[in-house]
This record gives sequence, C-alpha cells and structure tokens, in this order.
Amino acid sequence: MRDRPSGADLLAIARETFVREVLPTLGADRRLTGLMIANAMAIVGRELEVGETPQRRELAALAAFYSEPDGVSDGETIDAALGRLNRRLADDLRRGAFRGDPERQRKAYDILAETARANVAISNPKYLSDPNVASSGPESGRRF
Amino acid sequence: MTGDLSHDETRARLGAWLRSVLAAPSAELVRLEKLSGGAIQENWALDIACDGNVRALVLRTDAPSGVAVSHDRGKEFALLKAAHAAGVTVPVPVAYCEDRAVIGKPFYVMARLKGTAGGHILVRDDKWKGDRTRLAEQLGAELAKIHTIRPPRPDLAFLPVPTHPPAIEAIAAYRSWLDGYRDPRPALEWGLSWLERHAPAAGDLVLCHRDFRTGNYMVDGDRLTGILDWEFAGWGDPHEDIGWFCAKCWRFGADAREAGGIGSRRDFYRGYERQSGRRIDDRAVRYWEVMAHARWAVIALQQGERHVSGAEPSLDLALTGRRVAELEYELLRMTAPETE
Repeated sequence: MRDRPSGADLLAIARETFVREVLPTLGADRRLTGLMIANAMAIVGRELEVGETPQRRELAALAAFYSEPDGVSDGETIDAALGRLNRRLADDLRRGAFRGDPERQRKAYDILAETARANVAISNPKYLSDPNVASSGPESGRRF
Repeated sequence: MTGDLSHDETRARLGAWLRSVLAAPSAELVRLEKLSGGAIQENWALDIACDGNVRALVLRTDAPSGVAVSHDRGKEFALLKAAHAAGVTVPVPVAYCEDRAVIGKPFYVMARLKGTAGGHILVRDDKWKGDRTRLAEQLGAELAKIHTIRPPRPDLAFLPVPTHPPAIEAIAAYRSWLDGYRDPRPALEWGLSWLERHAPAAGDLVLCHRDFRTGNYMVDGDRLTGILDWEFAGWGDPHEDIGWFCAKCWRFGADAREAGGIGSRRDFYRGYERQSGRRIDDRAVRYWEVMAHARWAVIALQQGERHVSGAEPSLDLALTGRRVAELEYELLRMTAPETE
C-alpha cells in the first residue's frame, strides 16, 4: 500500500500552492516560465486522474476494428499493442486501404477522432469547450 | 577559444569585425545581450557607438540544435537581402560573416527593430492601441510583395525548384519524416491522405516565406516595423503563405479574427489583392489551412523530440510536443469523411 497523500494529491496541492503563492511574485521575464510549469503540472494531474482508461478504450476500439479478440498478444504490454495496431492503421491509411469501403473509412475516422479528443482532454481541455473553437475553423459546422 | 559571446575575447573579435564591415574605425561595441525566444536561432541585441551615435543592431546565429529543414545563416541573409530589395518591410540587412574565427559560428547582423512581435499582445491585449484592421491589410500587402520574388534568381539558387506540385512535395516530406519517427501517427496519416487526394495542381511559383504569421512580425505602436524569420522560405504556391497566416492554429485564441487573430480574412485579402492586382483563390487558401495543421503537427513532433531524445531538455519544447494533440484533433475536424 502506498502512503497518503497520493502522488496525484501531492501534485495538486503543489500546483495550487505554486499558482497562489509563487506565480504572482514572478517578474515579467519569468512569468511565462511560471505559466508553463503550472500547465505541465496540470497536464500530469489530468493524466494521473484518468490513468490507463483512454489507452484501454483506444486498444479495444482498434482491436475490434482489426477483429482481434482482446488486442493484446501474449506477454504484450498495452503500449506495445497500441504501437503495433496504430502502426498497422497508419500504414493502411497511407496506402488508402479503406478507400473503396466508406463504412470502414468512417469507422477508422471515428476511432482517430475519439483518440484525438481523449488526448486533447489531457493536454488542453479548454480547446474542447471553447465555443469559438467549436464553431470556427476552415470547415465549420462539422460533426465533433 | 572561439564561440561564447559572453567572453571578452569573442566580443573584442566581434568589435573588430564590425569596425571593418561598417568601415567605421572608431566604432565601439557598447552592448551585447542575448534576446529571449528563438528555439532555432540565437539572437543578440548589440549596440554600436560611432561618432556620438548609437546604432541598434541584432546579431543572429544558430542555437545549439535546430530543425533540420531551416536554412543556414548565409542563406537566410541572402533571403533577407532579396526581400529588402523587393520592398518588403524587413530589418535592414547589414553584413554576413562566414568566418568561424570571429565568434565560432557563422552569423549575420541586421538592424534592430522597435516594437513587439508578441502574438498574445497584438491579438489579445486591450492596452495595444493599434488599428488591427489596418494592420491586417498592411500584412496582406507585405505578403504580396514577398510573392513578387520569383524564380529564376541567381542570388537564391540554393533554393530547390519543386519538380512536383508544392503540396505533393510537402506531403512526401512529412511522410518521409514520419517514417523515421519513433511512433506511428495515424491521425496525421489520415490528414496527409486527405491532402494528397485534394491537392491543387501546380500553379504560380513564388517565394513563400513559410512562417508568415502573427508572432513573426514586429509592430511599434501603430506601425509595422518588419517581417522576421526567413529561415524556412522557399519556392512554392502563394496560397500556402496565405493559408498559414489564416490557419486557426495561428490565431492566438482570437478565432473570430481569421487573419492571424488580427483582422478579418477580408481585410487581409484586400491588402494582398490591392498590392498584387490578383485575386486570391479562397478554396486554395482553405486547402493550405488544412496543410498548415499537418505541418505544424509535424514541427511540434520535431520540437518535442528535441526534448524527448535528451538532446535539449526544455520545458518549452516538451510542452510543444503535447500541442500535437490539438493540431491532430483540428486536422481531423477539417478532413471528416463528409468533406470528400
């Protein structure tokens, strides 16, 4: 059993203290660095909070797409399995393997879109909630 | 020992070189200070005192590690000279030094501009009193002037002339880079495949700046003082630069102002069209905005890799690596199956 407070808890209070007590004291030349530190800590916090859930979901979707029962071969880590299946998908997309099959193309797209959304939810969740972001862009009015 | 501009001996050699290129025997180097920013280059502010006047200059040289596709300082200097001669508002080029005996690496010197290049200030700060509509128009006109530079140009003979349509060359270059990258990026592959299917035919070939965006020009009060960062310039499709400027990833959060977060697309296009006398093909611009996201995603992966590989541990580079997520997300939004 790990001691308390948890690593996530420690990180959260460290960030909160940094933002409240240290960031405001930084001069203009160090403020950007301070904001980057706070941002990095926030990213790690969100990553700890969701754990491996997004990777497991991505793996399940890719395994179903390629008709593999559980996605993980014998002794393979989740990361290795994700690397292998994403490599296969990347290669397939480059050579246009699904071009004649709109349904399969759509399915591949939905997996990519879900993974991208999950990654942004960790790296910059504001990007997903900003109404400007949702409604503008070169091709506006798209789904998701 | 050459190399470190903080050493007195290096400064003395630089002072002597400046006296000779400026033909000013009494000139003295009175200030030399490293400027912040510049992930690829190092910039130093330098002041030269001569006959009671102080001349404000910038010395530009390589940072410890750079992005593979950027030009060396000699080529960048040639580009700056070409732009200056074409009437583009740029820092006036002064001299280039190839001799490593002076500061240990090649460098060049140009005029130091007044003002700020800070994207967040120009886009979001209410204290900035400039007229953003006029600025967007002016920037359009500047870009049109850059695009008057066309091949063949003996002074720019180092720039490769594309043998395929520029979009197809760009896609091939990104794929080739991805082939050597440690992880697969299927979202980028999706985007590149869309870009390949929708690629425009080869059109006019002009000098593209290739990093013409908010953050890379200086503004002093209400006045545009110069277009910076010529290291990526090359022959290409003029719509590439227009798309890069307007792409959502370069609006610094002010998404409603589609031209660089500064003005409306109309303002920017108007400035460009008035200067060039030619119509902008809006569809082509939209295509290059999709390309802009793919390109920025590749560059962000490269920047992140400089940290991840251990070559250059840096929080800034590390966070840039994590920006790939939103670029891929946006790239997918723009290339959904229903856009076929």
